[in-house]
Formats: sequence, C-alpha cells, structure tokens
Amino acid sequence: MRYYFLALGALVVVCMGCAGVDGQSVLKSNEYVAPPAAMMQHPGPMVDGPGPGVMGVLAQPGGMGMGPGMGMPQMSTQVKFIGHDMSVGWLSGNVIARNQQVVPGRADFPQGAIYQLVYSNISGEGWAGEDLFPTLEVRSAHPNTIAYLTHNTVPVEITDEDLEHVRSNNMVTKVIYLPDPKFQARAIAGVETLVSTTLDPGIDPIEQAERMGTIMVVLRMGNKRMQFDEAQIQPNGTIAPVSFSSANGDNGEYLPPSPVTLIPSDIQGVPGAMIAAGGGFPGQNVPVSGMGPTPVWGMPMTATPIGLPGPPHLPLGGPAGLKSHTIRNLSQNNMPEPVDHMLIDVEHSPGYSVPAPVKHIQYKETHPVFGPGDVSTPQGQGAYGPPGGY
Amino acid sequence: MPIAHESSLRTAIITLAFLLTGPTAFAQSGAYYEPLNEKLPPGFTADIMARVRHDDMFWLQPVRVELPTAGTVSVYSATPVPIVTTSAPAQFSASTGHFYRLRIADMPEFPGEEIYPSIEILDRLHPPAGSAANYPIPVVLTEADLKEALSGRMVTRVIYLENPRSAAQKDPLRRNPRATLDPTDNALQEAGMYGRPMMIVRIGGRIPSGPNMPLSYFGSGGTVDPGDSVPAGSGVVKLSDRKRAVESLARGND
Repeated sequence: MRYYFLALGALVVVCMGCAGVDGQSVLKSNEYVAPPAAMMQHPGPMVDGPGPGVMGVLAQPGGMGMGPGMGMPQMSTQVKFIGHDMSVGWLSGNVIARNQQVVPGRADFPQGAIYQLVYSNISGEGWAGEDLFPTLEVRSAHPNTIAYLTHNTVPVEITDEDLEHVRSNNMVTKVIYLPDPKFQARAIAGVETLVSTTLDPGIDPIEQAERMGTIMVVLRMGNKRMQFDEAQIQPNGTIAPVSFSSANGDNGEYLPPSPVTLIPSDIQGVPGAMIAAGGGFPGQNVPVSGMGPTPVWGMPMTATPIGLPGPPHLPLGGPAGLKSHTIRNLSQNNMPEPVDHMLIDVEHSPGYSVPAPVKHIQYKETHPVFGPGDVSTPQGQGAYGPPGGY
Repeated sequence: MPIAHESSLRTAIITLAFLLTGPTAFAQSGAYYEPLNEKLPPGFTADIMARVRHDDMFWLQPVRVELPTAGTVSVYSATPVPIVTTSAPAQFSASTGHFYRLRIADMPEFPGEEIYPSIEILDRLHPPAGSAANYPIPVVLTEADLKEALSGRMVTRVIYLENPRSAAQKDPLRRNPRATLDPTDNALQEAGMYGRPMMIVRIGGRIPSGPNMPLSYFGSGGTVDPGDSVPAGSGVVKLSDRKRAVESLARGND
C-alpha cells in the first residue's frame, strides 16, 4: 500500500510538471524576484526600525535635545509644608531661591525628580542663622495615587523632634505614602508618614512604605551644609566653576523649583541609551535618517585611518580606490556570550482571580402593576416626579 | 464488579470537585463583579462606560451643585479659565463620559478658602422630552465633606439613581443603604446594587497653581453648557469672581 501511494504521487508530479499549487509556475534556478521596494530600502531584520527621528519622540526626557521642561507640562505634586515655623526655598537652576514659602505654605513640584530644598529662618533656640538643606524626592503618580494627587496636597511636616535629631547628627527620612485600601482605617483617603527615627533599627522606611502603599514624596534631611560655590565636571571632561546666584522671596523674587536630578525609574519612554539620536518631539530639528547630514538609516559607518567614521573609500576628492580596509582588534577580551533564552519565574500570590466573562445573558422585563395604596411614595410633583403629577 | 468500582470512583471525584468549587460558586452568586471602581484615575471610569454604552454624544446632562449655604461655583473643562461661574446652587449641563473640575469659593462657613473638587459623569438620566433641566444630577457638597477636604483628606462619593422598582416598592423610611463604606469596598459596585451609578465626586484640598498646570487637571475636555439649563434667578454670573479665579491661577500659590 505504501508503494502504491508513492507511485501515485510520482505520477501526479510528472503530469503537472513544476507548476505551483496556486497555478503560478515555480521559479527556475536562474530566475530571481526582488522583494517589494519597501522591504528593499531597509537593511534587514533586527537592525531596522522607525528611524531616529521617530524613536526620539518616544525617548525619555532629559536625553540629548530634550530637557524636562520641554513639551507638555508635566504633572506636578502639590506639597504642603507644615510644622515648625520656618521658611522654605529651593534650588531653581543655578539660583538659590530662598524664602519662597513660609510654613504653612504649598508649592508644586513636577513629578519624577529630586529637588534641593533650603530651610531657613528656623525658629527656636540655637537655630538663628542656621539653614537646613534637605532633598525632596517627588515620585511619579501611580494609578493608585493619581486621583489623590490631583485633588489633594501632600503634607511634609517638620517637627521639633525632627530638628533635634538633625542637631544630633542624625539623618531624618520621611516617607509620605498613600496606604493601600487594606491598610486604611477609613474610606476617606489620607496619607501616612513613616519617619526613619521612629522605626526600629534596620527597618528601611521606604521599603516599609512600599509594602503598605504607594510612595508619593520622600524627604531626606541632615545637617550637611551645602557649599554652592563649587565646580562641576562638564561633559567634555573639563572642570568649570558654577556660579550660583540667589533670589529672595521676601523681596518678591519667586522662582519655580527645578530638579537637581531625575528619578531614573520614574522616567517614562524608551530608555535613552537605546536611542542613538536622543530625544525629540515633532517639529524639533532632530536627526532624521537620510535628511541633511544624517546618513541613511542602515548605512555602514567604519573607522578610517584619520580617526573619523566614514565610508571606506576615503580620502575624498578622488576616485574610489581603496579596496580593502582591515582593522584587527587583538585585545584579549573575555566577553560572555549574550543570553539567547531568558527564563524569569514570577509568582503573584495570591494570583488574580476574577469571574469568568459573561457568555449568556437572559433579559426578562416585567412591568409591575400597582393598585391604589400599593405605592408608598407620594404621587405628586416631587423633585423627580413628572411635571404636573401623574 | 469493576464497573461498580468505576462508578463509585466517578461519584467520589464529582463530589470532591463539588466540594472544591462549591464555595467559590456560592461566593460569586451573591454579588456581581464590577471591574471598575472609584479609585481609578479621574475620567477613566467615565470614558470606559461611555465607550460601552454608546450614548448620544451630543446629550448634555444637567448637573446641580449645592453648597451648605452659599458660595460661588466655577466649572472648568480642560481649560485654566472657568467656563462659567455662578452662585450656588449652580446648575449647568455637561456631556457624559468626562470629568470636570469645579471651584468652590466664597463660602461663609470657610472664609477665604477655595476647594477644587471634580465630578466624573458616568451616566445620564432619561427625562421627559423638553424638561431635562428639571431633572439634574444633584451634587450636594456637605460641610463635613468640605472640612475633611480642607484637613488634607480626600472624600469620594458615588451618586446613583435608585432602582425605580425598589424605590416604588419599599418604604422610604425603611430603605437604609450604606452611606459610608469600608476602604476595601468597591463603591461603584455597591452603588450598582442599589441602582445606576451616575457620577463620582472627589473632594480634596489641592488648589491649582502656576501657569504650567496640566490642562488634564481641569478636566477631560467635555462640553459644558451653562445656557438654558440654568434656572432663572438661581445663578448669577459674577465677573469679579471669574477674574479672581484667573488671578489665583496666575499667582501660583497662596
């Protein structure tokens, strides 16, 4: 029987020749068909993409060409400073803006960043002329906290006890978080504050707060005095002095707070390290492949003897004569092979458990009939009765 | 004999399966499952429900905002400038499926204070033709709620339209729905058991500050009509209040 089907198959092939099943002929060995142009203009899989100009829109803020202040206004958290009498200022760019708010006061801080605060005019014995320089970490809104943050302020309270800890060379960390519903005592949502000085030794207030809710603000305060006349290392490696000017809210000089650093985990979008062209937004003059001096996407760039990247037929100005250009890397590197199969076991305990989706609905409508005296609500012109009554 | 053994084994398996699945089935039979809740970001629930219902997108639902005694009510819709400012009780109409920001000020109980609650319109009423203004969704902001908001807490209320059958059959004095829920309860589900959720009201103490306030803070961009739905004599537009609201935004903070 097996030989019978084999013979039958051979007969069918002989009769139909090399015609395809769909009626089109199968290519001969010396015939080629180019793929569509749209496929041809791309170098190939895994090295292509929408191009730097498009990817830049998805890039994280703070990358090349895109600062945190560009684009749409960022969502902010309104912080309410309460507690000990003092005035609150902050770093705004290279300006030390003092006395921007007097406790109790409130100010908006764009989310996903850390700010340098300046507490001055602290009341109490021994604090005359002393300033404190805490940092304020403002976390990005989480779906759990969006509703709260768009309706409420986040209180940051400095107590006399906190100041005593700072004076005693202790660091005070305050974590203000919104408790999960199971940790709330009332349905009316309110924030909770974990203070490092009130916890047992070894307990991290941030870890503890993340276990019980969603962190919104972290205040870290010590007695370190900031030296604002300092030098900074520039991107090109040089050291340049940074000159800070000052502004005073008492003189009507108000400046918005600006972040000293962004919180990496709160930055949304494609990580900047994955985008060669950096950030951008529609309309911005960002490098687009094939436009202007930017090479075509996928064009090979190789090192040349003059130390610059370029096509291998340099020098320019003459006919292309270079046929071969070889660079050998003789370094003894030990680079492990890339991981080709990653296995990550995750377990959510307890796992999600929702009812099965509805697959059958029976709709039955019954119209009640009431006799006189059956209906207990007055049949008059109530607020929701028809005009004129029944 | 082997057949009888197999039969008894099958019975035992079915019984065991019933014991294992029984409590779950009973637990789900008491209440329905509501995937949405009032703790989601403002506007999310209304948007989802609008997509599900496919209501008339041009329908403007009358809303009536009542304060403890007196005050002014401003309505924002994705703009830092209020669309309308009227005296309380204020009535306006707005499209469903959106959330709007209100500004409550000039209250004699809270002098100098202003509160910016938000309303999220989930559903619409179906009044007799031509009398929609007579059936607004009442938003009653009590003095207790406003006190909680000013003290730094957030009050969330779900307004629902009572099921007409239960409203007609049960004695009004004996109907006793739960007014305050536990933190872990789903207020939307609870409201759905009594009727049809119409609106989520969130009241907090944050005030907008600075010109860089995201427009999404002021609402999701639904249409607001202060026109004919405002009953004569109940709302008076005070231009001085509108100017003050703009000034407070430009001032940045208080």
